Amino acid sequence: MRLKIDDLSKKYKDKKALDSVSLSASNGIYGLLGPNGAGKTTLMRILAGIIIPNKGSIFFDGEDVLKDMDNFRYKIGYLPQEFGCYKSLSVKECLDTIGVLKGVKASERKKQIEEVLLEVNLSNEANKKVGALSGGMRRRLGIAQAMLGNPAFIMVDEPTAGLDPEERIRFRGFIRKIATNRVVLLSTHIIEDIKNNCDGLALINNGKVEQFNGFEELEKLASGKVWRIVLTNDDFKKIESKYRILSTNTNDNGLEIRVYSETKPLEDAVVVQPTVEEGYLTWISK
Amino acid sequence: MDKQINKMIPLGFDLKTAGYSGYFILLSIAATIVFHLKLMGGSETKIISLQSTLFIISVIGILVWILPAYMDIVNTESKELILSLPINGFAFVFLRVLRLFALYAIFFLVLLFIISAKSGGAGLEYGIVDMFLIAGALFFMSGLGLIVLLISKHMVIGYGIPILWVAISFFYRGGASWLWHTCQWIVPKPFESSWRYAIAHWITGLLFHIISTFIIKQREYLIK
Repeated sequence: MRLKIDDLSKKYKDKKALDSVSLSASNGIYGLLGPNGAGKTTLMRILAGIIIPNKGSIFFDGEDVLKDMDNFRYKIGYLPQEFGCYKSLSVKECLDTIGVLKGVKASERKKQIEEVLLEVNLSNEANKKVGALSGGMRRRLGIAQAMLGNPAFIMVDEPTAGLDPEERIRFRGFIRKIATNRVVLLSTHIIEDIKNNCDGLALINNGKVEQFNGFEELEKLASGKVWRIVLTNDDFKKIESKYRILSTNTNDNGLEIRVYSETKPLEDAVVVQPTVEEGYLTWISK
Repeated sequence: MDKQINKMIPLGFDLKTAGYSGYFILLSIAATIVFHLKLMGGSETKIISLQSTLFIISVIGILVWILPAYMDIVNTESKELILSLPINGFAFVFLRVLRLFALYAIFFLVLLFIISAKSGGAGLEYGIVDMFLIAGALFFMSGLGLIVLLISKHMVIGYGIPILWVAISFFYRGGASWLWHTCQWIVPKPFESSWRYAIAHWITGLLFHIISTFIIKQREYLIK
């Protein structure tokens, strides 16, 4: 399976929500990282056939998606940022309803529902009302519904927003599990969601997208520009407004800070290996 | 056709979505009839009171019966997912509403038929035209509620505009509602013939449902 997006643009009045976006993804998890309002949801909505782009093309497995969106919708599993439908129905009934709308045959629906519930560890909650589920369970139900109909392409938008750390870790495991033999596009503004979990990566900001071959490439963006400085609290106050402080850490020697700077900020500053986060911040502030 | 039927949400789920409000309406109608017929007798004033109560309950009831099935399409928590699904507009709107409407209308008309048969010349007899008009009024209200809900994308407006229309029709006795005088069936009937009112309600109701089927496919409009 291969997704190929080329020169995709979307404009709302005078604002460019997406500006000539091009990217490609194959089987596995593909991370789309960017701050809030960067254009992630717009891209997701276009891929889900909810909004229509002003220009550009999308090909999935060689087929022109925009020419036959009705057919492509059968190949998509989508977990939007907000998921809370059919709250008065039970988990099983909710999945059955979505299965009907996805066109899953009645003879296959029951089996598929049991399988996906097992997959996301919600079998014991099958008869519980959707409205009574916790945030984490609801996200898992969201993944279960996305898997119904065995789609070749799954999109998850900000899947871990609002989840506690334990649920987040568990959720990343689920995403990894479903990524076999299909393309999974994971959009997030949380770096941990994609670090060590994604096979490909793209950054998005102000509607522009840049694709990276790996996290090392992203880290390299900040190479030679991240400095470690050990200083006192008083010295810190003097320099904090002058430089971009990336992190602070108190230890026995005083305050250890990491600073982003094109040139050496202080005499005793030491250049250090940048992290993914620092590479990301460098790209965002371009 | 097989695909259309295949894409119909199970009726039981729709009834569950209507929730207690849906069952409350049915109970209210039944309770009203029992209350008026058994406990209060059949004087003309009481008959008008019964009809008015029935009317108000029935036209508001059809909204409470049908609109919750489409709440998820206007709710921000759920609409994005539903709009991403390969919805078949005909099955998702037209056939689904028709099924819910038929259920409600049959229940209501059977009740009226029973009243008509039991009232024994007390002025509560309903002929074919009356039944046709009453069902048409319900169909019109269902369509009006649905189209307003989908255009406004707001549940309160979806209920509010049709209720406002009913209020105008009820208090002005057809004076400001032209052919869509939804209360024409209440005694004393303001106009001689009910036919044209019935036909107007059915045609407009049908039109509203067809337009609603079209609106549901306008995903970009609905998501905004």
